Amino acid sequence: MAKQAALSAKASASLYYPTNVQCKLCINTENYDIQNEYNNVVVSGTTDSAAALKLIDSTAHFQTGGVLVGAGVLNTTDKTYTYVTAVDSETQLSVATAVPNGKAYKVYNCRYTASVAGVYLAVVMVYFTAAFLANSYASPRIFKNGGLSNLNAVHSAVDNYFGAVVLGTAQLAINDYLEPFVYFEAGASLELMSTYTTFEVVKLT
Amino acid sequence: MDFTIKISAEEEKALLTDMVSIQTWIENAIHNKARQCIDNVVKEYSDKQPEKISVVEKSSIVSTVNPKTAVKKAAEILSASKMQTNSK
Repeated sequence: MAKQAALSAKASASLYYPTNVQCKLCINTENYDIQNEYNNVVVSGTTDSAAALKLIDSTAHFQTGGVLVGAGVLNTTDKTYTYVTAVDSETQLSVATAVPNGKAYKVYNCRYTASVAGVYLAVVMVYFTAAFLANSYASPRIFKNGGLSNLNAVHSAVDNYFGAVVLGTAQLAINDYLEPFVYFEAGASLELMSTYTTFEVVKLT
Repeated sequence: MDFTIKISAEEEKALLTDMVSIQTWIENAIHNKARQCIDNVVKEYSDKQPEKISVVEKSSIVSTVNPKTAVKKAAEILSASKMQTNSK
């Protein structure tokens, strides 16, 4: 009998995410992934050239490293975010917003792809290391097949030092996929604590 | 290696109710399957644990081994099955 699908993953490092843009979360340390359905590839480095809508690193291995279209990209030097629109070569990615020369980056897939059709429960938790801007909100989100599927939000007036969770069910066919995202409405970049920034998926039926 | 898939306008219309990009969905499906198969090859043909080594290392292992194809496995099963039948 096949084992029941289940994933539990957490962020391996505390990272800053910018505001006013939906960012995929870098959650790459697996506690368990029963059916090997989670793609937790992360490629890190520093850009050594620049061009319009590109991320270039002559020492990288983006193709053999397994980077996918739709992968998140954090420019950890400037605390900005973009995503991969095409994998051009081993050393170059097309991205939605160019990453300038000399910037440290993380490119990460963080995508759960169902091996079996069914109804799944997904949970994304984010935990802030500092208060976020007054009169704004933070919103963890679940994306299915590249589009927003479920969201929750916490307002700073209610809970500006802590965290937020979104739970959602999703009916998945084989090869449908789920991804964890976050959105901060306003203010400076916010740091999310590694241990309590998590993504969990379990097959219900 | 490139593969091309043709779908009808109706299939496209229906698929776009469930996914943002058909191209990305297809690419993810095949890359995810390849990722799982690479892990299986690493497990079967090396002493490494795939969850403990990098994707680049796994690619390097796969490039140096000669794993049985599904066609060869099927032929072996068929052959074994015929042998059993013949021995009865």
